[in-house]
Amino acid sequence: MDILVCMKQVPDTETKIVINPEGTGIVTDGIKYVMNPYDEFAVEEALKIKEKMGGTVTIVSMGPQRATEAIRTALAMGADKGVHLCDDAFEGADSYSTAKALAAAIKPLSYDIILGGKQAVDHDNAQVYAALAELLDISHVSIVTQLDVAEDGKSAVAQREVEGGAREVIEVSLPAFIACQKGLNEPRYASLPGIMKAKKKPIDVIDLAKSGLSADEVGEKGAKLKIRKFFLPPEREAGKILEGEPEELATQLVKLLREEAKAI
Amino acid sequence: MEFGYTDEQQMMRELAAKIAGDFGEEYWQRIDEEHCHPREFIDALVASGIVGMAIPEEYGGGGTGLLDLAIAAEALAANGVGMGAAGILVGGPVFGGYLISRHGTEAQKEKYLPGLVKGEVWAGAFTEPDAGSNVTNISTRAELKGDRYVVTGRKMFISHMEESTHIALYVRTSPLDPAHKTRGLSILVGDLPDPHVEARPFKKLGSRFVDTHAVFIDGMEIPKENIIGREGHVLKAMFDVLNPERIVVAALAVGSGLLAIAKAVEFANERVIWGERPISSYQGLQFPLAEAKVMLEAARLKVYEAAWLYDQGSPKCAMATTMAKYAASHGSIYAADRAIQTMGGSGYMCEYGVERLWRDLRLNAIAPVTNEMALNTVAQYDLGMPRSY
Repeated sequence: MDILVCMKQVPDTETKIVINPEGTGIVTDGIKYVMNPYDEFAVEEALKIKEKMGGTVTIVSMGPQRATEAIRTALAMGADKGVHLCDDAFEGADSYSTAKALAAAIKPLSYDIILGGKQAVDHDNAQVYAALAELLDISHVSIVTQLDVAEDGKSAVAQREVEGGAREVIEVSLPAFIACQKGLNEPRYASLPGIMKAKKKPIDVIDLAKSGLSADEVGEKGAKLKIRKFFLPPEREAGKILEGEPEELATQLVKLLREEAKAI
Repeated sequence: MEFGYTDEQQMMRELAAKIAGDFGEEYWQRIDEEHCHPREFIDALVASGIVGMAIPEEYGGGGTGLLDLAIAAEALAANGVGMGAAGILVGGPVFGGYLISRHGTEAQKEKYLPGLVKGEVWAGAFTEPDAGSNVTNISTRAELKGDRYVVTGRKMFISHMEESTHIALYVRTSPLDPAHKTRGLSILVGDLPDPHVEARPFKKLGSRFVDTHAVFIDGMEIPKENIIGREGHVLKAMFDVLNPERIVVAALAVGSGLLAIAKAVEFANERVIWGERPISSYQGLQFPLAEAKVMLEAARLKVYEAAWLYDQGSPKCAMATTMAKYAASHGSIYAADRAIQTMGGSGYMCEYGVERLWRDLRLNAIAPVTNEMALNTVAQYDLGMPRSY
């Protein structure tokens, strides 16, 4: 099996987000970056498929220079090689222009299945995989919590989460994109020997020229969506404590709920 | 000169932090209360490859240097383990690993190193009732009878006797010659358990994650080929074990000190006694913690330098190690003490774990070398002052 994993490097989930003064983005100084947690499930699942069926696991990632660290982490977990879309022209992309660049990097590759997280925890759009599958003309299954690839590698049965905790079971022909959800597996740690081997594994860096795309198809220029403003939710105000006899309290409470909170 | 971590070292730190995160304060408290071996933690450390990282790749290890091991050790300690990894990281990769990988024969390497990668631990038996800092004073005798050495003597404060598969015994193969005190010392590797070896456990202040024993050896037989290096010439091998022991302990101490500070800062930021500001806003509490932090940051650089010198095979390693071990133990004990003080009554109680850090760290002013002997070494060999003892 030739297994691809789409992976994104994102700010650590424990990062305290600060918006820049212009409101155009977040302050990136001092941020610790990690592999998108949902992509960790994808890497783990890819490794499990490889262990069972043989083959190679290739990590495909778009991001600035620093994204190499996250690719190396995946290589240290056991992936075989990396493809890194890295060019200033890819900066400022939305879901669509990201999918466009990923598709350009993936098209020349041989693949039987593509895995990725159900969303990246930075922008939380959960759109790239659907757009990518469309551009590659393959199916996708989203929010997958269980995956069984058929022995011949031609199809897979995936369970996905639907409303109310119910599960939907989907049989899909391969290649397809599987968007991974928490619960699919327990990602392994990169082992020490894995870390030592990771630096010897190849990472193919793809810049704009190598991608075969033009500058206005990718990054901010190729984006269909423009972010106007970033802002943090307002801080919660302190609660109000009512005092008095129960009857009085009830009257006050109803009044406040009606007039101030406008809840009833 | 570069001071940053490589990508690999950064990943090792993250790996260590993740493993540490799987074993919380309750786990280490239970280990401390029950005086038991942290089996689950050690299994995780073995599975991750950290235990075997400094053992050469051809024997199944990770093939890193001591510097990388020190970096991983510090990250484990700082992320919650404290000194808890000292037993396995000294008993395995140092007492067994470095002794064999640097001074073993090819046959010894093939025999012992793969087991150490899998988590076997060794007891390192230097100290005796009448020989601690003065190691040439040991009196445990090994006599060659046919194809075996027969060993008789007593060893003191020996760690890991309950778990060890082997014991590295520092013995006299010829009597003390006052003109050449270091001659006649040899190292033998014996298998444990052995019917001629009796061990009696001590109760102790801290470091309860590892057992410590008085060891009585009466006619233990060790095959002749189990000698390390040349009979009677042991000094280089001994320091190739003692130096990494000090470096690993110092790295763990730096991390443990940083952990104590982090706990104290977190507590002080939440604790409000007078008015509305937390006690962390008081300069009287800030200065000692800031001072401890400076001591530990400086110690860390010296630990890294000492480890790097060891990896280079430099003779400057011994002095750097001595200084690093002093700085790390001094800074970390101070850090843990001030963390207790910052947290007041809560610091003295067991629930927060800083009193345990202090109890564990307190050992490091005494072992692997006393801070007084460390200062003697600096005064005599670095400053060129007369020997005082």
